[in-house]
Amino acid sequence: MDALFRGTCLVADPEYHWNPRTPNLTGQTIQFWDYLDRRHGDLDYEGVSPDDLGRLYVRFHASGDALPLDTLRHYAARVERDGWVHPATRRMTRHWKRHLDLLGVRDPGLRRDRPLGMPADEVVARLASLRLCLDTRRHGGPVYLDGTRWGMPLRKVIGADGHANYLLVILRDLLPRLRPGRRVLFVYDDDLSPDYALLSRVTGALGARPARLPLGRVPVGGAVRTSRFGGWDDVTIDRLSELCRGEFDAAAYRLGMRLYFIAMLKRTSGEPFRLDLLRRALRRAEGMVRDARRDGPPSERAGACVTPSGWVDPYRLTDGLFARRSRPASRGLLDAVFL
Amino acid sequence: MLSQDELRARFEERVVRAGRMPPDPRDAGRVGAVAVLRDFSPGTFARSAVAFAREARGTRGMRGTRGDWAAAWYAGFTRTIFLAGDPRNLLERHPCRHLDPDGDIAWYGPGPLADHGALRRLLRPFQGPLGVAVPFVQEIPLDGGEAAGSGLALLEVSAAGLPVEDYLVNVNHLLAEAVLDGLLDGTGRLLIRHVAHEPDPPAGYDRIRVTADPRTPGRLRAHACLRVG
Repeated sequence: MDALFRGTCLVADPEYHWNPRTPNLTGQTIQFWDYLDRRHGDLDYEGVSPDDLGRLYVRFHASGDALPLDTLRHYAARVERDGWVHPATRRMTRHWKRHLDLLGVRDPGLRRDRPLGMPADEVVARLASLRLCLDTRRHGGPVYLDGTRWGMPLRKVIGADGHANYLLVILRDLLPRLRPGRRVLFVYDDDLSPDYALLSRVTGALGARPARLPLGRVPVGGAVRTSRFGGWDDVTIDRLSELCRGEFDAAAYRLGMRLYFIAMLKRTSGEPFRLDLLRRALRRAEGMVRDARRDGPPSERAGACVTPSGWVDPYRLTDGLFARRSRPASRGLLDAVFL
Repeated sequence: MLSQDELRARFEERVVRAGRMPPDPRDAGRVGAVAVLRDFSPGTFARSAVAFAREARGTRGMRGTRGDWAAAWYAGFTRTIFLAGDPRNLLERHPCRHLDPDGDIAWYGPGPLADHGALRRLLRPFQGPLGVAVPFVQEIPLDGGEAAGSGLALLEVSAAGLPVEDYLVNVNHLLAEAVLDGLLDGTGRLLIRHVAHEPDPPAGYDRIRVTADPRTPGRLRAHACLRVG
């Protein structure tokens, strides 16, 4: 994301859109918060390590101890009212912020609270008037996003229990920003492709010009899984950062992580994570940073990697660094995008 | 309230009527219809259920025509699947047999349900746990070409606590089978009444919709009745 955004900044003026309220309003976040408050109400989260927080998350999912969302409305109400964040999430976000800084990743606004752009009812009413939403709440049923005209199945966005899922929360922020002809790039987990294909169609129907970039999950221990199943103890960012920074300097760490995760694993991440290859990428990065030379403006290199949808392809841009074995890397490009 | 014996007799009458129908002409597996609803209101629903059944009845008796499917549908107890969906969004990819003039309800079939697999994967079952208004009274005109006339029929639904999805099933069976039997020939108006109680015995109903009582195993209950003329 960072390489994509910074690369695109060299040729255009994109807005990187992130809202912490979006993840904080999802059912799984709210149910986890409630679980923590019920089962671990006396924890001082400032003293809990991120790994232990992760283990609590795994335990929560394994326990099945999640209350129905219609009994947990007070959490969503607090987030909506003043951007409240549970201390566990505050702790985790601070941890991520620290690692983004070490990685040289621009903070997209992890802790910058902002109300969502439009109330849920207004989104539903606007989409329903265009027949993009099917609202059966009058009868106690759900609200669906309706892409059936494109052969896409109805997708529930507000349950019969009144809970709005992440798609509706995204639409609340997205709709006020859409203008005719405005380009929108959705970057998302490949597992969510059907949802984003639908979002993209809806965005197009509203006059904007959508594009999509699905990212694959990196297989760990022979399987592609989400963090809730555990098995990540050896590959947390804490662990990787500690291993890498013990051997390499800050710049090699930043560039090496990007070479590995962008250029070597690529967008689909078909290969499992391998520490030996990460180390090789860091060694390569160390040399590249050392030998880098000032040459033409970085916008030239970025301009050559612009996709038809207007964003700079971070894979082509990073591959370009790799391919130039015989020539030193461009100092300007490294600074602008990779360090 | 009707006695259990009377309810059982009405229930068995329906089984006999369905059993008299010629079997599915092409042995096409399960035969049924699909209704797609953008919204629900009692009047619109009853009007479109009757209009669809009248269309499906078409030219009964000629082999290979839609009438054969109507008979097979009846033989299968007018099985119908009710889905939430917007008919106008489906017109291009899934053209329907009958579209209500408001565009709120589309009907597919009757025919092999397998023909509607793609449509069913696209949509979701209609859910309406809040139920319908009780009491409620509305008189509606029925359209349907030659079959419509000046007669008035009464539809009474014991609707207290009935979710919309169950209302759809009960009322549709009652109306569709009455149409296929010719009972509504000459009927151009329908008075719909939602009541809290089960129907009374002396009322002289022409048809009663009877099912197993979900609250008491082994018992039957009447959900809706129809009186014609």
